[in-house]
Amino acid sequence: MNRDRHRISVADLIMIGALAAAVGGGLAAQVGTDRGHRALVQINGETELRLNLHRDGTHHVQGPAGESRIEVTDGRVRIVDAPCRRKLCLRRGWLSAAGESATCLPNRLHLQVEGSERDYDAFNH
Amino acid sequence: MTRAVLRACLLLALGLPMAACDRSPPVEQSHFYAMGTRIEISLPADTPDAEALRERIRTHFTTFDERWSPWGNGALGRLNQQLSESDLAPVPAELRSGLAEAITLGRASNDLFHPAIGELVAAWGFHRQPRPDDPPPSERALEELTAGLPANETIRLENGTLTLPRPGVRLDTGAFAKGLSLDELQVLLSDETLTGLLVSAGGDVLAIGDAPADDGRRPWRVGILDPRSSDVLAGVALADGECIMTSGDYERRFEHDGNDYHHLLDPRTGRPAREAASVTVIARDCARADAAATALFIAGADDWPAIARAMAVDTVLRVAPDGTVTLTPAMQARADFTQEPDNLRTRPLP
Repeated sequence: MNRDRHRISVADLIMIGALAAAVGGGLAAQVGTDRGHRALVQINGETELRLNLHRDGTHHVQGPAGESRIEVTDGRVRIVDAPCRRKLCLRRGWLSAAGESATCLPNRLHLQVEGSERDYDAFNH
Repeated sequence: MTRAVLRACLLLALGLPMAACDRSPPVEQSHFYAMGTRIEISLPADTPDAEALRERIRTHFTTFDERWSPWGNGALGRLNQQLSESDLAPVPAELRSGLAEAITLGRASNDLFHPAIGELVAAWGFHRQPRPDDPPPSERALEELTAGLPANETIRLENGTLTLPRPGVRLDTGAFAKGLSLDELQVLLSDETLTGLLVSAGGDVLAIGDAPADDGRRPWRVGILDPRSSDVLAGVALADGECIMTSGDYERRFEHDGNDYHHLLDPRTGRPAREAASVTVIARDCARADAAATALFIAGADDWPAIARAMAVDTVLRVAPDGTVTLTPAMQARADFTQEPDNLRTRPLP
């Protein structure tokens, strides 16, 4: 019997490590599906931006009524400024679950959190 | 363990999440703007001729909007022009059944849902989007407008002719327009073979059929939003043909001299109703659910169960301004709370 066949080599250890990382990453992806991981920003139905909710920052988009400001912090997103008078879209506050959305009708802006699965098909309000 | 087995495991482990990412979405969403709001359509990805169906839905909402606009040049707008100088007018055929239903629901609601409220709505500026930056109407104007509002019992629609107690009454069916549009959509699409369709008209939702799922089919799931936050208060599964309609004080509002005003006007006082933050109604008749959500919002904490009974709706969720959530037993059996509120009550209908 060739004893070398049963000895774990450096290459095997690297492969085992990669296997553990892949399995762990896959499980993490499955566990995290209820929360959105990115947000879609549309103006007039056209996609303007796709925001990574794991990367904090402030983004500016230009709509027919003017400039809107969108903030991403700690996996959440919200509209923080809008050119419309009543600022209803600001009242939606933070969005984080896949499928949640905010709309600014005067600026034709729609912000929606995306995810691979969603708890709800629509929101009633 | 051989290296070949390890390699196979690694490929499998890497492949599973990638396969999940590659899975095509089972539901396709699209949207357009009509009736002053955003209309969202969810269709199973395997729906045949989906693009033609979406176009059919879009055409329905845009023509409905024109037809029922109280101030436009469509059928209701022209009828209102006639009524400005006359106490009777022939009603175009395309408005008759909807208008008859509005009058019937108005009577059942004890005039809290009121299809002849157009002049009052206009006095507050809510007939325009965006609302003009005007102050609220004066006390005197509100007194005159509410005194001149005809009771639904005095409004007659017989043999295609509408009769009112006086000239100058303006019809405005906006309080149940979304519901009526969803009912008419169901009729329009009755010749389609659909496995599932979910339509949201500015947050008021109609379910047709059911949603695709990994193991076959499942009911469409809708999250009811908390009127005071962006969180989901409760989830419900909708059966085929059901609607969920909400009236809330957070939509179409304005501030003047430090006071907040919203568009849900109490026909008795002429002012925004203050005893609720939102009312949600589920029913198979969308127009009825829509009118009831408005009427129960206005009715107040003591009277809403009796009005719900009179309007023949039994699945109701009411949120008071202090956050108290009250459910009818029929709603309690269906609402799945993400986090049960501290102040949750059940109230049976009389």
